[in-house]
Amino acid sequence: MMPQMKGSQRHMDTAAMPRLTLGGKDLSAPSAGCVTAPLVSFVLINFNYAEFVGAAIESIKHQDYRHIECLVIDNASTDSSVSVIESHIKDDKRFSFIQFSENLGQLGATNKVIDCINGSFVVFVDADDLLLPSFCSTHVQVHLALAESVAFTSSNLVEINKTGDVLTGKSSCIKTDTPEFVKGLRPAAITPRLSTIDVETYNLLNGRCATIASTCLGWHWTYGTSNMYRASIIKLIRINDQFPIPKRFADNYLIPLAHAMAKSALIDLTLSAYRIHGNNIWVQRESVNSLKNYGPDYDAKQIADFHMNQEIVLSRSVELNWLSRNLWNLINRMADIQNSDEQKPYYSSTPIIDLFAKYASQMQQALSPSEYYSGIAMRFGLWNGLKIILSDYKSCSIFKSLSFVLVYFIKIRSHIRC
Amino acid sequence: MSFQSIDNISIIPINSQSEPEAATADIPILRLGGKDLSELSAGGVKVPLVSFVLVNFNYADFIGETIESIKRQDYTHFECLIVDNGSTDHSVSVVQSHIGEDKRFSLVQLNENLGQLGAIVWAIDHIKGSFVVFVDSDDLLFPSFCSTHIQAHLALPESVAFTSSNVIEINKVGDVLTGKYERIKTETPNFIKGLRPSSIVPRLSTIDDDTFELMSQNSAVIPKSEWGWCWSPGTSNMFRVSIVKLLNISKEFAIPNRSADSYFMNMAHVLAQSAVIDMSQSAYRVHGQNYFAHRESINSLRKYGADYARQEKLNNLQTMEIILARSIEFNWLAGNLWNTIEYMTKIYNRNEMSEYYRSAPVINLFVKYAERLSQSMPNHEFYAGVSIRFGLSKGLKIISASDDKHKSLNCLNYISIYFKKTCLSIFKKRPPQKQKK
Repeated sequence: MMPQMKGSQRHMDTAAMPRLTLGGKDLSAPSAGCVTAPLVSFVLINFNYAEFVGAAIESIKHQDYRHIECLVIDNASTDSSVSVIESHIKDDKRFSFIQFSENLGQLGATNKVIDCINGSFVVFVDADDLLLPSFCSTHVQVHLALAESVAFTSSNLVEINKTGDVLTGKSSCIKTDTPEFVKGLRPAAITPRLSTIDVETYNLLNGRCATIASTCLGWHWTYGTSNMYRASIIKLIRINDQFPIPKRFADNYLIPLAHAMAKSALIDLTLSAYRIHGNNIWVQRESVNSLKNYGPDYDAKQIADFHMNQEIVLSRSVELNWLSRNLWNLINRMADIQNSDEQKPYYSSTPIIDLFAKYASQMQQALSPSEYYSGIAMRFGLWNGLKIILSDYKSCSIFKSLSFVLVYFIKIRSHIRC
Repeated sequence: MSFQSIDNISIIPINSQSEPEAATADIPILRLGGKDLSELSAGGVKVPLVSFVLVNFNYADFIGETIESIKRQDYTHFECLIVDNGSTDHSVSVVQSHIGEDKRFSLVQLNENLGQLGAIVWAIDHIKGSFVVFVDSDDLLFPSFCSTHIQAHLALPESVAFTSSNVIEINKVGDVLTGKYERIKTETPNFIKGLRPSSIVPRLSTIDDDTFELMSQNSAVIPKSEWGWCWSPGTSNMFRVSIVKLLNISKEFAIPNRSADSYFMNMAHVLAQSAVIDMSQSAYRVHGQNYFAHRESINSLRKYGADYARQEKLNNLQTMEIILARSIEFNWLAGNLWNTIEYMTKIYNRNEMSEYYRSAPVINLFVKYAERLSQSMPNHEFYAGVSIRFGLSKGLKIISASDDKHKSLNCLNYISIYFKKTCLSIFKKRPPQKQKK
């Protein structure tokens, strides 16, 4: 199936381009080296949200950061979405429209269009959400000013209902005051500054941003629309075309993997509106901190999603371990374990043992023997560990199992000593 | 204004009601960082519609003033549904004359009295707002009531099920008796005090900077772990409609004959937390015929009678049935079902509590819903929870009712857990031995 491209190639409206300054001097002026503000790609994936998609497109058009492109994708809607989309794009050259003839699910559609993105940063916009005009400026400014560059930034939001009534002033996910997080931005004097972010806003941002280390477990981000990724990271974790992608959400794949690979940052400022309209797949009501706002079917779906994530990570062990230097951290993250109590049931379940056995040879290539054996020993114990080690039965199995048993008992001894 | 009597409460909707029309000119504005949020979002983000539900039973003397006090709200974007709960006085004509031509108001007349909670249960299915206030028809709201509550909901450090503001107590003719309600407090150590910074929250145009600062100093989120009543009564609370709809009592249950606040506020708090605003935003009238209060609140004196307490015990049982019947859902949503159960017994001392779990109606209730309880949580939590509360023999009765197939196995399991627990508690009770230096 080939996506049909409508609309013309990307177009730059040079007059309205956001300017970057460094130490007060315009970076885009020829004398300063012709550095331009980055192009940001919006990917708007719509499925049967004719009622809301128009407002989403308009909110992208109204960004005060003008250097954008927007790929609008219709994921085989059966309502009047297509005509709504066309009427809202009109002849804005920054927008292009792709129509799929078959619904690929959100993740499938995301994966398919990653190669069509020209921008250096990308936002996947849900068709029922809204962006505030400073969304793009703020995210780009934070990406350029954080002490450590991260895979993506996640901002706060207001929750609204079907007709736009405000329900909450914030999401319950974003908590910048957590002690492990690193707060703040680099000093304004030494970072590239966007002309659309004034000093006051920069100072406010400085107090409301936090970087999360890649080893932090748990969910700390808002969903979908409110995240801006580096396009390079998204392209790196793009799923191989041979891999069958079930119909599922993009967030549960992109966010945990991007974070585990290359960290993330939070912006505790409201930059978008998240709509709760009664037909959301997960969410049944606005978020109140101590009450879940999704139903019990969530668990099974979540487990299936993260099982697939784990398979993708294991199948790319060699590459991902080289890049991130810490394959076991990626594996921990994909296990979606919040505390040590959950570790045992996860690693003793048959599908997980089978999965590790299937990719044992890749893991062995990726890791040094001591990392490999001790990682397996800590998670799977003696018996299931041996099963995984020996599943790659081609070469010297006795030697391998002996060394595994040795590592296992050394681990136990050191554990007892502790 | 529309007017309609209905015969069968559960069937006839009030569809002759016109859409609530607020004078668009004075609708308050929400600002984010000083900019109009509605303009920023090209009209996509708006101030929420607030629903007032005013249930009236024979308060013709007071309801006119109550309606006027709602009309005078500086937050004009509201609808008000007045439910006449089978009054036998001239309430209806008073209501009609006070509503006048205001399109935001509508009136429904029930031909029999459903009780306050019954009328509210019915009304909840007919409101359109995102936030709701259940107004008692003998109380008065101050003009900033609605603005203050909405601002708190949008600015609290954690989103909560409802906000409760302070009151002043007045008598029949309006004389002020007290300046506050005795239960409201914000200085308790585990409360989360304050609002989020003004620069990052949606700000209402009807709340100026000074007022926001004052609110910030006098507001607190009450954590779930806080037990006991720490709010003002009825009128002074604004709920999230989504939570009220979640907790609304479906037709399969008997509606407890109790006040709406004692059902909704306790349930909403134990599942989704609440917050207090220690600023007086309404007047609570003590006029001699109140259902609950006999006199104004004085911190160290009970103001309700013994018959009220007896009735409450019965009502608590009906509420408990609702919790047990929905145990799977509630444990999924909020976790820690045993805490919810314990909280809704509304018993705060250990001896009364053990008496409670030994009474036959309570045991029967748990036996009836044993299966659902056991499905709602892992086995070890279920067994441990039952063993602490019901002891060995009563506990076994509940356990054996929970699963017909594995009765004997479950009972054995239970017994072993019970003895483990008792051994542990004996062990713990032993005073710690002093270490020799």
